Amino acid sequence: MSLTGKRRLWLALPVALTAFSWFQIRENHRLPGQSGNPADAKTRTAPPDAGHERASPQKLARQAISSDWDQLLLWLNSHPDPDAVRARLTETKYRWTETDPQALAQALRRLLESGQDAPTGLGFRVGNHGFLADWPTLRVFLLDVLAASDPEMALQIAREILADARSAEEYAIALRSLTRPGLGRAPDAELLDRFDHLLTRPEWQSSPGFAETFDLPRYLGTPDAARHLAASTGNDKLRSMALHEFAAERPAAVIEALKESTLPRADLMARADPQDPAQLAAVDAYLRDPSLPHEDAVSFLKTFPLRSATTGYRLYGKTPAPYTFERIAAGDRQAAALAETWAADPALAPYHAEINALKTRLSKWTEQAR
Amino acid sequence: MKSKIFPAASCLLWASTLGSMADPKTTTPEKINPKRIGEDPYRFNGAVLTDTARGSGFCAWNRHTFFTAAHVVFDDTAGKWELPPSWYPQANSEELKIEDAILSRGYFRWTNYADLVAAGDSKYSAFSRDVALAFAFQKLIKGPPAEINLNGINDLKKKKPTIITGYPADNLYEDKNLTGYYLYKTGPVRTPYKPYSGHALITTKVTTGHGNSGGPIWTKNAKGDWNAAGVLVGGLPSESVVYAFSQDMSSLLSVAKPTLRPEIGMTELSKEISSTSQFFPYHKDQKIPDGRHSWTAFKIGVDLPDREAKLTACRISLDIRTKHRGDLQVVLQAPGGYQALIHNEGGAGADDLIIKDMDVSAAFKDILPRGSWFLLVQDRLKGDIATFKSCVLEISQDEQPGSTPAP
Repeated sequence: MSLTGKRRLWLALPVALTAFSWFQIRENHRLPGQSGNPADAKTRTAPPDAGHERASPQKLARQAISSDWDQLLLWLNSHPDPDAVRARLTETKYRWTETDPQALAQALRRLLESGQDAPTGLGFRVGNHGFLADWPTLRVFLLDVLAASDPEMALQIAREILADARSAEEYAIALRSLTRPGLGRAPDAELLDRFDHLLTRPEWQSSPGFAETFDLPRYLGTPDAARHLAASTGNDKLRSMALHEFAAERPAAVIEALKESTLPRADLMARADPQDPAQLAAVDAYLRDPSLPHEDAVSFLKTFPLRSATTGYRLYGKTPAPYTFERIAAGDRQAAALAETWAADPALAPYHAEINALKTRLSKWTEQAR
Repeated sequence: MKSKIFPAASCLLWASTLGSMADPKTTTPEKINPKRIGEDPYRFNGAVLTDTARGSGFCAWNRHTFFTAAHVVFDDTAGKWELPPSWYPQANSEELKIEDAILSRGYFRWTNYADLVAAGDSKYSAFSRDVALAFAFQKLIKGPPAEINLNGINDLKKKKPTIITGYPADNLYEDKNLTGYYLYKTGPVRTPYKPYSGHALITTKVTTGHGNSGGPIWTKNAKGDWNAAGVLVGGLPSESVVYAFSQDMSSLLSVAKPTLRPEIGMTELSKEISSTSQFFPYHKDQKIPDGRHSWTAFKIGVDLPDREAKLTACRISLDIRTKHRGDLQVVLQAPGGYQALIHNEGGAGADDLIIKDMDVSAAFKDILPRGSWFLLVQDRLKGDIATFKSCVLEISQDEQPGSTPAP
């Protein structure tokens, strides 16, 4: 072979190798069912539209989300196992939240506007940091992911949903996109209006979404929010739990709200913080109120200062963790001093048995806390 | 004293299953030899008494805390808060001695609002939220507390050995009264529990009796030690319902943690960042589009050797150069969309946004941190070009998977 021939061979070799590798890659990446027959390949029938085809990353992300959505709708038609649904929706959420927050919000808006939906077979369960751990419908799933998208756009989309929510669950979860810090935060007055509006929907009152919305006043934490909660009617158990969680964190606001309420208040007054002179005075006035039923006074004295509480994952506020060792111990010392004055007061003689039991209890706790 | 053990609703269930109660393979409670009361796992047990109820409990996670069933300490029907329960450590006698009682200071019931309306507040939902963690200012037992199996929800469904311990007042299966407050064990057995409602699991091959509510169900860990995997919450003549522990309990322990009396010489835990923290730096000079309401995302890949360990603490340091930091919005986003607002147009006309070791643990506690994190930045007002220089994400996963927060 001549030198030129050898050179040509060396030049041709990489070309041949590249062609071989390309062929191999094509073979390896062929999807099941693809025959590789050139006759099966799609051919372009029109000149390329480069401007149209060169989609932005945001556009690609929206397309991917739309494709995921179509597949989810199809898949749920086959009634998959609840564990599989939970796993797939969780995985989908993790993938979607890796896209640009604004592209995500736009994609979610389109899907919500399409009106498409499907039940998932799961319940409505709040998980850590207020995100859902179970989603009853795909629309509720979309609204849950919405709270991880662009806060301003999510706020706007959520307001549109709230105006026409299909269920208490949609309402509750859309409301969460109005409670995000920063640009996604609606004014307190709007949030309270929306809470009040929810209460006017009797058909929703046995829904888990309706129930979880009772965390909203605690999230707001204002005296006004406490008043709205105290004035709510319908489900006494929900209101009671919400008032206690609110009072455990902000007793002053709840004690203030109770002044205008006819609700039973013995347990709630027992949540007063004895370190706050105003609350201590409120508690003293409560016990000395001549109209206070004996039963209520006994109930109050049995639990004051009440430091047991409910906790768990909540939709709007943080997981309640209202008490610390230092504050409980300091409060017990103040309460013990107040109990001494009550025990010495003949006007409170009808309650002396309970007051003495309270003194004994507080003395035990203050001793243990030393 | 009234013995209010399993929720009243369970009576209905009892009636419906009487027909199948003659299963001879049902395991029933046996009294513990008094000489063994001081051994694991028996020494963790105690009788739990309130003004109106008698139950069982076990000291776990911390020497100042004990678990029990929520229905032992709180009457759901009356919906009234009462005195916190008293703990009688290692009770094992005909009568309880009042001088042995340790009055707890309070307790936390792990529940949610939805359970109050679920299925008309039926027995099913009642069982699914039937757990409470009481805390006391005094130590509840001698020696270390029991460890918790946060994977109980899965382990109890397997054919692994389990024991239930506690203070039954009767043997439901044999219809016998059991006098006094003696410690009993039911098992060990290898019976897989089946899903019942939420975290409640059920088996039809194990039974104990009233008074055992709140007692622990134990599973063995890799070292062969018994760990508390759940709480007995209900039962019938030939079945038991347990509330199985899961990662949720880690959050419950975090709630109780601030109520614990600080021990002398105890490690400072408030900062939560330890020497096991991992650092993820990101350096890139990049201009942020000026006056545009769109996010510039800086992706930080977090690859941690332990895929299952949860985040216990997180800090962020950041350097963005600008003439007006008041133009900027900065959000840190974790895998799954969990977000923390780092900067919200504060600082008005001040210049560079430089943040050092901002603790953002609260926004990300207990999430799985492995995956893509994003620092999202917007410069919302025109006029000054901001330049991103660097950020450093610091993540700690102090506890091992399946373990509990440091007590």
